[in-house]
Amino acid sequence: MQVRIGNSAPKEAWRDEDGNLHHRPVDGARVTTATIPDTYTLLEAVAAITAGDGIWNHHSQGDNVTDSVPDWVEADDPALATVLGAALGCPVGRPAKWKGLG
Amino acid sequence: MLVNSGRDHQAQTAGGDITAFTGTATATSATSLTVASGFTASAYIGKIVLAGTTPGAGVYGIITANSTTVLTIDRWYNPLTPGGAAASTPSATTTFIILPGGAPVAFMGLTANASAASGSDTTLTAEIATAGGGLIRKPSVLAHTAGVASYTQTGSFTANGSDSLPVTVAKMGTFNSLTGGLMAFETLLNATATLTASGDALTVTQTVTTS
Repeated sequence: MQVRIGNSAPKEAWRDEDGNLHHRPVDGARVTTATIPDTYTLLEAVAAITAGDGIWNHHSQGDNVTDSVPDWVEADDPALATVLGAALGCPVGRPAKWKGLG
Repeated sequence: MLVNSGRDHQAQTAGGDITAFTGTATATSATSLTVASGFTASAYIGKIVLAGTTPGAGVYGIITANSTTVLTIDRWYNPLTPGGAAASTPSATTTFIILPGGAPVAFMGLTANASAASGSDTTLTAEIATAGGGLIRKPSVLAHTAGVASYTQTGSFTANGSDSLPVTVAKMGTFNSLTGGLMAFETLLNATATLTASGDALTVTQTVTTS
């Protein structure tokens, strides 16, 4: 099951010569895609995306889940998409005019 | 930390190991597939064997060892539910394919052991394996943002009545199979997490850089 998130504030991770992990912003809107195993419950799927140590916080700029808001979210499971939209504060469904990579 | 066995696996999968095999089995079991002859010993460790001759009923196994006639797998998987119950054993004379590359490192395990990760480690010491528990190894969520040089693997766990609680989780590992198999990454958590009751939840994310 896939979740796709419109991400206008993406970041990527990199490691310094000592192996320490850092993050830096990357330019341009992009799609963040998560593949959720079918054995996950709805709550586990939501937590994987929205928790402090979850996917949105690790893929969007800032140090907290609420520092960046997705442009949109969609998922193969409509119920999951609805819950994620409410939790992340963004609309469900990619707008036809949204331009981004992915 | 990408441990030594993980480095080997990464070279195999991303580096383009095209070793493969096709054939017909002479016997199968829940954890093996046998042929009359023809395998190169140990050449297929970490690869996927796809079996089952009925369209739409294929299963796969992750090869953990092989001799010249026997593939040993961790179990048979239903491709649609890799974290669920084991799939049925294919027929004794099934046709099969050993796919090039390697099985994805798609499973995350946890442990309360807090010793430092080491490149030479091949198992997650004291990995939580309570039968039926919610903290045992499970498939993780792969996430990637288009075009960036990193990805994440997230495990979302929920303790249940089968788990031995309380437990303070200190370290995670990622593997290419649901049981046994190859450990690719082993990492201490930034902060330990104590779960005390059924229903307590834990989300763990590992970040992997690719540049």
